[in-house]
Amino acid sequence: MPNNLFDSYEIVTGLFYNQRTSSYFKFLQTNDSVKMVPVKEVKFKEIIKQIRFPMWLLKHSLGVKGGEENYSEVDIQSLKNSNERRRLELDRSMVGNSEIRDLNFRGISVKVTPDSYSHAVGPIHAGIIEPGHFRFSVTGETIQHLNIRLGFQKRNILNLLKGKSPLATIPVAEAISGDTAVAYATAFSRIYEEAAGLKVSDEVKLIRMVLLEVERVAVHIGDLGAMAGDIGYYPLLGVCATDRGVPLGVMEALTGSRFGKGAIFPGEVRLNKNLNLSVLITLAANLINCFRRVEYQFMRAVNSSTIRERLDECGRLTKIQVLHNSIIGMPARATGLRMDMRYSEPLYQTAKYPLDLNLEREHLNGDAWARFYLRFLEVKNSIAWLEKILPELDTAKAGKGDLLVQKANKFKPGIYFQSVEGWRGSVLVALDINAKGQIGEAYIRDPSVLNWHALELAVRGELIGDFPLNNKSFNLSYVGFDL
Amino acid sequence: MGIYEIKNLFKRHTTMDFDKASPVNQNARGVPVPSKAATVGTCKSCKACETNCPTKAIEVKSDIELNFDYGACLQCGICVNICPSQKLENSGLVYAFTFNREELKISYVKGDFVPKEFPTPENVGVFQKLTKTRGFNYREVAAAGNNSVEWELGASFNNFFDSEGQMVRSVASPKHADAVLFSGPVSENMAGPLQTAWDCMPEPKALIAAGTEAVSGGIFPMGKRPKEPDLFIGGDPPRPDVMINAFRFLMGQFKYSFQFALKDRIAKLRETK
Repeated sequence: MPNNLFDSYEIVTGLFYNQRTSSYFKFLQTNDSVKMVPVKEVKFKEIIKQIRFPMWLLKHSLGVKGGEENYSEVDIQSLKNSNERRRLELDRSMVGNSEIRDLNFRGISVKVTPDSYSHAVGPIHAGIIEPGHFRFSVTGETIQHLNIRLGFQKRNILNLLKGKSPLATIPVAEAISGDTAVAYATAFSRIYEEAAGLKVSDEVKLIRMVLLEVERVAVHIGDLGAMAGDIGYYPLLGVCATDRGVPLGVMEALTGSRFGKGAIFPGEVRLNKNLNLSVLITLAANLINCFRRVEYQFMRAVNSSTIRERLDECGRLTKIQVLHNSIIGMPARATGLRMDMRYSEPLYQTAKYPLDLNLEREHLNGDAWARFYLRFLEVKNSIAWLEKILPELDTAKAGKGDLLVQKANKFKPGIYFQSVEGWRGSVLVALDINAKGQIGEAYIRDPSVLNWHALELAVRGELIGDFPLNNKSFNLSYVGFDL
Repeated sequence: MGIYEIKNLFKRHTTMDFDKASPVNQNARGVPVPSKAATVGTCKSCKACETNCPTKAIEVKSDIELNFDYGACLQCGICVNICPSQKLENSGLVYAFTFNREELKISYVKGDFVPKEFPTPENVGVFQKLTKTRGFNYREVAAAGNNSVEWELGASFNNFFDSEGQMVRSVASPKHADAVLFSGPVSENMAGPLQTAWDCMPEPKALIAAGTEAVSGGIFPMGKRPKEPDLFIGGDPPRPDVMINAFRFLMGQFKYSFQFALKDRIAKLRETK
């Protein structure tokens, strides 16, 4: 129930250009749902003029190969005004007359003044992390502006999906971003279920929800530790790095893969055969014990004022910025906004034990602290739910791994879409399916597509030494963007 | 330091014992193998496994011959479920690592095969001389991997797996490294950076392909690698303990033969039924 001025909104969260039919579709997101609307403007030039389409979305959906980018004449101060920035960026992003360049790195130059310097990082970063290129404009120690360019991990997934049958699609869906395998497999499966008219029991839905929460908990615990590591507080890092293994182990015990790969298929969930009540009770106990260890160290960390102050006001995003730039998922919730696709899934509330989706919104004001605390709150809510719901699961009804979708032969042709709340935020998948269930055109929008720009905004005015902390507090997917 | 840390001093360490670690993980699917049912009669040759394998890792050669490329296997288990006569099963064997790409390719006749010895390649021998007692440092390059290998490498440094305890460290620059470890099928845009990382490393050095996508491309076409990797680690992603024991295998601290371990595992699976 919206109870605040910012709770009713509608942002553009996706833009699907269907080449097969040369038509555009936009996706509008409210606080708990997404709808697909055909775009009235059929001309590309009119679409890019619409301020409601975020720049990153336009470039991600419609971008074509462009040459080196030149911002060396652009005054950094003028980029701080969002309208001016958009005008300048559009101006410099046109390829020919009717196309816009993508966000792949092909060389970029930025303005350097006597009192500022430009600092390039990547593609290969100094850790075990995916490749991307960050170009900072810095005065002293303060970041004035950041340009992020990606595309190094491009595998042409959208082309690869064309003509694929439903069963062959699932492994590709799980490879979009390996840490969000469950959310993507769920989104793809739901699309095929809708198109083929496959009935899905509540038991199967519930098991998928459980796997989704296990995935969320595993990543959030890892991120809590990683953020603690980036501020040099190692007790929490040590506990979280190890205890992230507990939810991963639970996932493996349930599905046979630590990342839940190969578990979710249209119409069913394929679980390990040896599951029974006593195994489920043990898994639930493992999770709650893991949470107690994390909670103890988390409370110890945040009871120290130096740690709170270190995170407080660091990399702050405002609600206005979130709504203006269509930022979604965790960073949006961390500003205190209500935004979660799980609200519109009735089973979360009607299951024997409901999942508490309430966050202490008054404590979340969009900074690194909020993103840190939000993760803890979500871990707490999800584990409290998992502990109760795991022993209730009817694993026998999950399906015997018959790969039901093989037998489905009638698909209603059309464009289908699904949005699933993964741990980063809602993943959006739209597929144009023919009567055999094969894909004609696909559109995939990871939350990272919109949220990379949030990182660009958040680090402005912050110290360059805090960049790893801010970057980790968003923890975005490079490969999910590059596709 | 608080009371928690003092109490911790008296706790037993929980780090994994890599010498006693088993190549089989009971919870994981592991690589698929012919089941006992495959040893009797003939395969109906419906080719359901071959056509539905997402990476085309299976070839049904005749009604008694079945070829597997475990270097392309994602361990997704689709073939096991799709076989109408239950002639395949998940083995739980997760140690899918070798020095030789060919070692991961197995031809089964009536569900059985004869394992072969593969000699240690010359370059690996040189690398082992350097690293056997001293360990090594690697530089990780994500070359269009789906980021799950990076997560598992991250986990390999926690206090349960403790990669550094096994003398294997990740370093920030390839100039400080003895090996480059890459994940993913090497996209067009990462082939250059991967080559650069490889080129600025001093000899002797090793190239490690971590994860099925790095070994064979997986569901993607394989891109251009600086050279044929010295160590192949299959799995999507390989578990942290698998990678650490693969590193120890590369250093010559751990003896392992994929084909013999597979043969053992198949025998054990058939014995218990």
